[in-house]
Amino acid sequence: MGSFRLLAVLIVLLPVAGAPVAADESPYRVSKTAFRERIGSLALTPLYAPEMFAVSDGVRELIEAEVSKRFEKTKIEVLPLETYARVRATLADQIGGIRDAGGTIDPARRAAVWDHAKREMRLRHPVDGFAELSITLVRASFRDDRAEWDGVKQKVQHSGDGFALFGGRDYQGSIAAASFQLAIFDRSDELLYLNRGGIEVLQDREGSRLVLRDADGFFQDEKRLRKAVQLAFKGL
Amino acid sequence: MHTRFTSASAFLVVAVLVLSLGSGVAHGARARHVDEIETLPENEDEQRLWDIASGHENNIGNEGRLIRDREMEAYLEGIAERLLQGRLAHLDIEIDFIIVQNNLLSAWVYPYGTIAVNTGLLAGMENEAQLAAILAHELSHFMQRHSYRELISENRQSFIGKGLGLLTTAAVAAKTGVVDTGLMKAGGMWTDLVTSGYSRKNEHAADAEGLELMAVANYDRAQAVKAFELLKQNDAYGVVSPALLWSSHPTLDDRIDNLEKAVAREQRRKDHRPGEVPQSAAYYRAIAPALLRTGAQDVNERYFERARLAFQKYRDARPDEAQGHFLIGETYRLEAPDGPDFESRMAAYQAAIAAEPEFAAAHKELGLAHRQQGHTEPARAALEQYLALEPDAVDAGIIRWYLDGL
Repeated sequence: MGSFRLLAVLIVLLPVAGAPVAADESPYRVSKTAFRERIGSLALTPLYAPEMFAVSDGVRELIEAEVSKRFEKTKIEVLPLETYARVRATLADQIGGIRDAGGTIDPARRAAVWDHAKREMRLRHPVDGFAELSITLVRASFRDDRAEWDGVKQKVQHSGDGFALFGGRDYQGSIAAASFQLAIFDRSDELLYLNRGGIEVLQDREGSRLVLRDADGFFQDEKRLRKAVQLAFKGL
Repeated sequence: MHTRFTSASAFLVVAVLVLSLGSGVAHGARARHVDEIETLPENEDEQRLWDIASGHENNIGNEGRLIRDREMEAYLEGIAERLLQGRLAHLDIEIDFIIVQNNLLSAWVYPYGTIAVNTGLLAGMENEAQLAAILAHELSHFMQRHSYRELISENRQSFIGKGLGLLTTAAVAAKTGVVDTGLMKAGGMWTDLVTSGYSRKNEHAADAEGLELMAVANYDRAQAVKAFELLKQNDAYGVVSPALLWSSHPTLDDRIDNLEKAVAREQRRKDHRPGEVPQSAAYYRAIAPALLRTGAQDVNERYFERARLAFQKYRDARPDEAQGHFLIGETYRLEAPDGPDFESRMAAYQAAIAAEPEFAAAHKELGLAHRQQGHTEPARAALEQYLALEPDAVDAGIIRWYLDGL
């Protein structure tokens, strides 16, 4: 997908994008003790990433494998995400897939498949809850061309400062970034745990403007991806 | 895109604004009741106050929280007209209403007479007289010009400080071209400005005049006590800021107590007229869209009991519509998808079908509830009915697959 279209989407989405998780904010929405009492087993959902991120299969597999590895270190029993993926695939087959004739995801079809998949998972698998994995768009705060959000820092690439570079101009604000998000719900969809780990900044600064990077260049740094997953599990 | 650039010029603008508002306050002036004046705003200070308030109101619109529903607005205007009985005719002022998507039971008035009413307040009241009590209170704040009165009172520095918080943010935003909703926090700031800014004396004055307005309009004043008691519902739900809550006013219980005494005094008078208590169902019909919005928001926030209450009011207003019944069923399903209480939701779906036999969604959910419990034949009947009504539904293929597996 071209960057122009992605930019348009980002402009729409930025106002509603999630705020980064504050460093001192607990990821638990109930007490940790209550969480442990309520969640002994989980079904993992396949990684969700908006199409605009153009996430490759390789990136998806890396993140999902990292998540499975991280869950092994917890005392939570996990139903592999392939189980959930199979249910979704089976249901999607019943309605001819979730994409329209042009190959674009049809939101209504996807919503139907996701809704029924959750119902089927509840019906067939007595897990205590669901762990939803996603890559999300967030607003990272930046100052002096350094962005900081969801437990990570990153230098903002910049150009076009000219003489202003010597004028001590202090650029600051918020910039589009991506984070890995782990959300754990109980069987009735009550959110019990939400945490994010920052992956990378999605914009560069050109003078006083923020410009979206080409989506083809997103998520190339494996180390940052693994770190993002690790951060989202912090506290679990 | 969301970028902010600090610069000396932006701070200069802010400083000028700080000085201009602060120095312009009319020391020793008196804010008279609107009955005693001929024009509003009366001077430049009051005009500045209006500008601040207007900025706040605009920001609510910019944030997409305004509910534009001409019928509900007209209904609210009708209540205001009944309360005012032409009392503002000598001023070039019209009482307007904005309806704000927010489940908090709250309302506030801007100094130029626009009253903001949250959907939660509309949904939380039980009849028109109770809503009229709240509106009468807000109208009294306006008529007694309490915002301006606070501005020129002994507490003005504190008030100006609060106002400037908003003004400063707006000024920086205007200078840099950035609308920073995170900083503006408009809904909270103005509400904080007007509610926590009002002194106890002014609150009691508004309560007293509010009762007078109710009497003139022939509303039962005892409903004012009930209305203020209903505001306590806020305590049971998620609270963003204490200043947003009526119940956070240190005097809410005092005010209820005062209102009770005032109503009791009135009831002892020989010429006492009890006033009207309009039917709840008529009220719910008038604010039905607010009930749906409040219920939906409460479902999203998992306040299922309150959502159910809103949908039950909607159902009571429009019993022949399937929607209210169905949504009640949905609150049960979403609250406890695994049961064990399937009866409540199924009864609601069946009521929806009884109201509108062609309401397909109720057949589907009824069928899925039966399927979940292993009731093969009722599940089949309901799901087949769903497909008969909605053969091209987006999930029709999935439902057929379910049927094959029954």
